[in-house]
Amino acid sequence: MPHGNTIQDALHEAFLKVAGVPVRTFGSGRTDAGVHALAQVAHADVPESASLSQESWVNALNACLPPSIRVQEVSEPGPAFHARFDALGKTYRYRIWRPRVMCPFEVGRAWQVYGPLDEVSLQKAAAMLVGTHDFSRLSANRAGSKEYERRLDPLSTTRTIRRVDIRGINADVMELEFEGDGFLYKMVRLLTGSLLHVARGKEEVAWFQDLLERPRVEPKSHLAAPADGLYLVEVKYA
Amino acid sequence: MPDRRLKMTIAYCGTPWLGWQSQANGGTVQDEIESAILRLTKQSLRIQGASRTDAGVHALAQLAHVDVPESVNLPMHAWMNGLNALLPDTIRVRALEIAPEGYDACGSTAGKTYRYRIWRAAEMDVFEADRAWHVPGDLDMESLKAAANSLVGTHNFVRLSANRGDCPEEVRRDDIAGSTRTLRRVDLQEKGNVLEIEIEGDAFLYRMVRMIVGSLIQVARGRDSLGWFTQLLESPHGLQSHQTAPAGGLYLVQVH
Repeated sequence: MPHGNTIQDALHEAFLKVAGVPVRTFGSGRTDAGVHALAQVAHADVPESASLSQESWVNALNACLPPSIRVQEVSEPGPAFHARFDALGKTYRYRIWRPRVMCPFEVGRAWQVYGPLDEVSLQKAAAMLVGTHDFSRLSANRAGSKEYERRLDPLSTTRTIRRVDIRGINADVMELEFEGDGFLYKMVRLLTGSLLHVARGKEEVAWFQDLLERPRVEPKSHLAAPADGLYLVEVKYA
Repeated sequence: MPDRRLKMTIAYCGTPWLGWQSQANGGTVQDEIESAILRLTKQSLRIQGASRTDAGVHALAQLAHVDVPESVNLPMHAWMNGLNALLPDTIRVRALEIAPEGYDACGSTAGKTYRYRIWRAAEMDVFEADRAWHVPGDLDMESLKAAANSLVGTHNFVRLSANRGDCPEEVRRDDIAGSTRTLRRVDLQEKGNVLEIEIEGDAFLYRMVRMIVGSLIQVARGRDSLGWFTQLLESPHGLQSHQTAPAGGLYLVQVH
């Protein structure tokens, strides 16, 4: 963002301080405001003048970054590597705080969903996700693009989900983990919000199935879970 | 009819707050709870906490009591839900009940348990900022254990505590009973990248846990000897420890 307060902006500022010249970074994908990452991957083309060891890059960048952003590892994968185009898949985790009273340490880090959940319906709906589907109704349109344009090309909204794991439904923290080849804008949050809608008994499993299997029907799901609970866990490469 | 005394169990993330105890300009956990009570009951009521935690220190189960006049007639669930609706989300009332006869949050405590969390990996974790102290590198666990064990029992902690500023240091030094405390348990536990130091005692002096932890780590890092540490405990004369662990790693776990 111009004059923005994004992770990428902070990274650019740190690179400017360390390398002395502007360095562009390319992330594996975008995460929304408030979404966390355990291992986002990005690449940067640095000038030859800035020749630091991999360990020195880590230390120098971290010295310039705020404590809520850390570079965990730097490597040199060769000039052909592209963080976004080479990504083969991603894993996201969504954390839900289940007890009646929110934990003060989970504020901004989990979504509070108190009350009984129907595990059978939830698992049934989640199992339907595995495979290849058109997620038009379970994703949002980024501002600036037109919904009908997106609908012209079904491939642009088709994604493959390889794994959905739901654990700890009655523990303090319930987790939903999604692994897939890629995710559309707000897709994980819409999947989570819609799955929880079913689990709360507000809609039948058939409602969820319809969102998934009839991508051209209206309406879309607008039940996005809050950004707070979402974590990018892993980006897979060859 | 006398006032009704309510006992509250409170959890808070201390990061945004200036500590427990009320201050003239607000910004403390006590101020926030009292202002929530004012909004809920239209009464300006004072609360008494069991532990005066410092700015940035967290609590999993702080205890406090409040005396409520008879004119305030709210059911128990309305108290808890009402306060939590009015409080900032980093402060939560976990339980609320009518206090047992004679209960006093400051006076009735038989002891407290504090936990100190230390992040051991080379890089600090983004989710642990202000919630653990980052101590990378080698630690001599044998010395750490020996120093920790020497804490258990009754000692004069004048050199492992700070002066709150309410009396001259000479006076504090002369008041031996005033700085003598009993620690019942000091446990070290390594859980992944986190080293936890849990201390249970009858009561704690100002900054005592943070100075104990800071000094223990000083020994574990090999910067001061075990002898230096035991001297702090055994001889009440001499310099105070210069090591205070940061507030963000400290958690009030339980009031007994």
